[in-house]
Amino acid sequence: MFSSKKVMLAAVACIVGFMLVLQFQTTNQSQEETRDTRDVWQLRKDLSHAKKRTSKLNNERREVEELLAKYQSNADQQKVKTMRNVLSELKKEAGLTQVSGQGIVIHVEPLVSGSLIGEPYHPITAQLLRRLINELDAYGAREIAIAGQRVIATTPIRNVNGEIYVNDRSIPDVPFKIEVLAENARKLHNEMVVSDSRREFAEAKLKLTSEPVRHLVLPAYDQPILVQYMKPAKGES
Amino acid sequence: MWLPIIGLMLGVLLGLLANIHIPNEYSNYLSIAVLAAFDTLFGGIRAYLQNQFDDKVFVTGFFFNIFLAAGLAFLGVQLGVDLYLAAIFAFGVRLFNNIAIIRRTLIARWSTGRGKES
Repeated sequence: MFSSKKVMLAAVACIVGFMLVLQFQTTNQSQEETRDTRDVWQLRKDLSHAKKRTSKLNNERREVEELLAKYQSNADQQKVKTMRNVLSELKKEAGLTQVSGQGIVIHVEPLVSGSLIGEPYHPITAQLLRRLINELDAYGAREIAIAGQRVIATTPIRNVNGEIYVNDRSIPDVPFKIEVLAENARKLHNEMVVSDSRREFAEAKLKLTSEPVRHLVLPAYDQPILVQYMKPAKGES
Repeated sequence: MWLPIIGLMLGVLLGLLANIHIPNEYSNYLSIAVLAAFDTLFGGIRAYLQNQFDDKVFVTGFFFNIFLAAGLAFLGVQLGVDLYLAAIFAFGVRLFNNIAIIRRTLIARWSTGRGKES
């Protein structure tokens, strides 16, 4: 029937095909994304997270649509009023107004009392402050002011000749205060008690103590905000 | 001539069904081995068309080439020299040669077949 030569060729072709597919699958597999290995619990968590986000986005959309409707209303008086409202809202969001509410006050002090002669404390560094701010933000801080300087989205914190500059203004050496507004001051206070920053400040021979305050007033950001990378969009008429 | 193609299909099917994955570290060796296997396969087809086919030479060549290529690649990795390039070069050149000869033989057969018909 079949000559042995042909059978041999076929057998080798079979092996070649097998190897080819293996190679193909291997190279394809390495390009594939890593497998989704979340279990039911994680999936449920992610789902609820996504749902929350959806509802938040929907709320935002509704607000924006209402605003749009107000803009489009015919009465000029109404238009100007709406614009004023929006402007003040945006100013508040950008940190250009004084804000008040409940929050915590964080005192930064030397770990060892100044009257004791011994190892001098290290001066506070910009990095420490930045990490502290990151941590506060992560724990739900709304507004932050460092030694009377309001921290906004573009606030620089720099080390200049051994001094710390916040908003391009030098802040005094320790001790100073950091004021933080939060929705839930008690919770933020508790979280600061066990925070990483506390340990990091302690390593720099500085002590962080926080106390919840019922009413706190944060100063406004008092310098012009430079907008470097934004341009007004051309709106539809 | 259909039997080798059926064999190839069978191999592809088996590979797809087996769903085996080679770890990434070994995929280099596999690619060299695939190249060697191709070289031998086309060499075999050429020999078959030229009526010089020998089972023993073919089968031993197949396995020997695969292991030699993979071994060369392995040695290259150990020595830090890209020895697998030698295998790729040799097999690549031979692959082209063999395919060229197969093409010529087939064309020659086809034209002689037509010559007889007319």
